[in-house]
Amino acid sequence: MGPYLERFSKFSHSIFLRLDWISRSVSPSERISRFITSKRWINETKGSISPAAFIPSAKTKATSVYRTSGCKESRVWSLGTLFVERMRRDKAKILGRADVRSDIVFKEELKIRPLLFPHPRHADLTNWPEEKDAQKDKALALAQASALRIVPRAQS
Amino acid sequence: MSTPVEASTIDPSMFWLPVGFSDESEETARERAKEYRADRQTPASFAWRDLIIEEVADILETCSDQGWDGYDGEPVSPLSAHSAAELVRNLPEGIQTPTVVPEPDGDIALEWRTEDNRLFSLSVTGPTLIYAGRFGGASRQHGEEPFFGTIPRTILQILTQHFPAA
Repeated sequence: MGPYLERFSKFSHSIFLRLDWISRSVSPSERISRFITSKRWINETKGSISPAAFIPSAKTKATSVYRTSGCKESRVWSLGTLFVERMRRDKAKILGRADVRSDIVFKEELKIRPLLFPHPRHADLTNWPEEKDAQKDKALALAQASALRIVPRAQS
Repeated sequence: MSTPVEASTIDPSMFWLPVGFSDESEETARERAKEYRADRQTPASFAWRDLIIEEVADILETCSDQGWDGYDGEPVSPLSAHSAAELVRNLPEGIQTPTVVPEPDGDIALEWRTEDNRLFSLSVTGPTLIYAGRFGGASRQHGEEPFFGTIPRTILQILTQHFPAA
């Protein structure tokens, strides 16, 4: 496939993926996925995720996630590829994702704020405390309760 | 290729000046100096520390751009790397080797994890150590401690109790 045709294919795929509907209210049993691009945040051998993967951005005071309940695996990875990976300036690849249930997030008194951009399933984890030690404490809980999924191409 | 980070060893006696110190702070400084010397008297192999410091240098090299984490990650600064290296140099013997991870705010953290999912994260920002740990069940601890080149007793206890070397 030529480069222009490939770009057109990805563009139309991203348009198609945006035709999605999800309730604005987040239920307690939803799967929340954090896409990971730093190799230092995952241990593939142990299947573990670093708490650093959940620490909020110093700029936005939030952690960017996707609400992936009801999505097939291929669709979840497409969300990561088209709406996380392609938005990176350095075009580095996503390596995996941390899946955690929304009730774990709520138990830590964090909020899941749905966003419409760049995709209806995009959301922010908000309500993080100001103090970094308290942020770490909550990030540890999310990391402990998360399941690591490695992007299929990384396994090949 | 990674570049070794230069890090000087901070002697707490530098901060132990009798003039202008309250009795309480002088006592704290004495305590710190005592802990520092006790640590220095422990026979130590520095090989694992050198490997970790090499990883710190690698993080400094690979996470120095804004957005290095694919989101809004702050660049890891030479100061953060220097502080992390100083922390590594002062870790006690007889504990598990930590993993080194960059954090979105540009700090570098050391992490320990056990098979039974006990987890501890320790980072240093300027003269402050920031830590949090979950040790199974409802057992958890987090807070801040001053860092003047020696690891505070609270953190030493966590490391030796929950993360002893195998």
